[in-house]
Amino acid sequence: MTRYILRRVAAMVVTLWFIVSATFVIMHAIPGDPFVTEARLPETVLANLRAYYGTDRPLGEQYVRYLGGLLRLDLGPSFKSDTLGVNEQIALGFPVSAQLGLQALVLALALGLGLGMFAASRAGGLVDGFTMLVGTLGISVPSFVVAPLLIDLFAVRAGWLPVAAWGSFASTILPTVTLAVAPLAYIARLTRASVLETLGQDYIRTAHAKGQPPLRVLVHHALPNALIPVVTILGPITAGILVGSFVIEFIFGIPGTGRMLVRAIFERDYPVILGSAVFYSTLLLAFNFAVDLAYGVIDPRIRVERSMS
Amino acid sequence: MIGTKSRDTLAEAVADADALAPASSRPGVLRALLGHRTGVVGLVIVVVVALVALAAPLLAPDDPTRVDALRRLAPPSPDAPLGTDNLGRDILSRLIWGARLSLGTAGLAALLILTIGVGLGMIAGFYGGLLDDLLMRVVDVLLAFPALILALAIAGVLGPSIASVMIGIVTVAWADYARVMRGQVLAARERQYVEAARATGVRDARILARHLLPNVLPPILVLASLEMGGLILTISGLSFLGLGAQPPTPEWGAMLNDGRAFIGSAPQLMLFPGLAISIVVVGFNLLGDGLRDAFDPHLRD
Repeated sequence: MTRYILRRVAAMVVTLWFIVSATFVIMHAIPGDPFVTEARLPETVLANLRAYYGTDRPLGEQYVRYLGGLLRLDLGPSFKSDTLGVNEQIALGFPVSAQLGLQALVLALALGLGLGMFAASRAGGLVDGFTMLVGTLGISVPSFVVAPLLIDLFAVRAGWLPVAAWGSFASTILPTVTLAVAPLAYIARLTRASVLETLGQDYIRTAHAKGQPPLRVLVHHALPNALIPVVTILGPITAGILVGSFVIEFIFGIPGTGRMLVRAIFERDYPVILGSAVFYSTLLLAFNFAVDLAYGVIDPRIRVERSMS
Repeated sequence: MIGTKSRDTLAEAVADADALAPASSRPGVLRALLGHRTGVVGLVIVVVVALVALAAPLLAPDDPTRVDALRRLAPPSPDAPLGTDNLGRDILSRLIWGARLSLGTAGLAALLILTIGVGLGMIAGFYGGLLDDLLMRVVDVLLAFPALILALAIAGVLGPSIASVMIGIVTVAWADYARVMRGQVLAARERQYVEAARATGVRDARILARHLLPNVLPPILVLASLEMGGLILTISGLSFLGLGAQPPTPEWGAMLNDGRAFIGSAPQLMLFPGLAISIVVVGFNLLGDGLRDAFDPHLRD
């Protein structure tokens, strides 16, 4: 197991290095100087700016410097903000995005699993039809359609919730719901399909035959196996929630890393774009790794295979 | 020369016999899709929208970019069936031209993704070795990348436009197909019909194109249909943020962003483009689900 973990961590470092290099090259392959704006700064000021940020150095040197900074967990200064470096911007924004993402994940998991299981246990019924409808609409209707609708209905017309302000719990409700819609739909569909398949297995028939109560068969016999596919997609889903929040942060005016990235792209703030890519990739790799480790706990068969290889 | 020719045909006859099972059930796939209730709904939606996109110049009642200050934010009327936007442009005409843009860009992106992904995946799976290792390394990196962020970054670097959004998306999205395809080819490579074709001297390119491709295509078609929905969502999402289509281009995502300020006073600005995107994406997703069920013999019986 230790060897497996070490090997995975080494592979992650290599992947991360690839990602950093690729993004670095893309960022520097574009013609144009990020400091040249409509404001027309004097040449001496531009020279000072370039010297300060090191963009007057040869590319190779900038690259080595950047990698050196990464080793010290330093993502460098931002082009557009004098006071906040990339690290500080992420440190400010990420807790907000993480809170939003976590709330959405909990909501999506609770409702998605519930709906999916209930629908499968009464396949063909009313709840099942409803779940399939939610499952299709949820992955098809984009968040930038859902959000304005929710804002108009619940904030503007009904006046129950605040409009575009981040702070109180009430202000997080609409963005959380919007962000949860798509993953909820995925989880509900997957859970339904997986439970349905498990319920057709022989050992479930055996459990019924020996007189186990239906609810016990569902919860104790079917669920543990049916949940494995759901765990499989938890990594990508969590990543999707984290990354996918930038449209929602943009609409609701939430000061998270998503809005930071969109702003950075408009302002051509390359260090922030590069830093975001590095930060999100690390997060994504770590998530997938954690999920892979979790399989072993949930499914003993995988643990055995791994220890034998 | 005659010798090689006849050997080639022989190999194909052998291979065809081996491939007969999946090939003969192909009419069944269409029948299964047509018997799939929601799949048919998806098919109808996709076909209708595709026809609207093709016939946009004939169907649109007005020029989608014609500004008319005298009828700003007008509600639906015989003059403008779905009302007008904040610049007095006819919303119906913008939606119809928008269908052309959305389907066109998503379709082109899907075609590029499929060509690159399927091509490289097949080559990697068929030849193996160093080439395979290298390609799969690249695929691993791309799959570990937060795809949307890379697409965003590329689009940002190239400057906001539909083309940069497409380049950004294609750059990352082919990797998934390459991986699926490689797995399919790896499995199919050991099948008898491939062995037979190779034993009788059929060239590699021909084996790949004529013998392997038809047999590994079904799962790719399902993925592609589901991918179209996702592509339309991503492209219109980036346009909504202002990174894709630029004004005055009639694009659904951009129209939604234009309408944000008027949701209370003139809801038609957001309502109709929102409906358009949702219906089209539902269509592709239902079609994809239907295709998957149709291709799956377990479910068909």
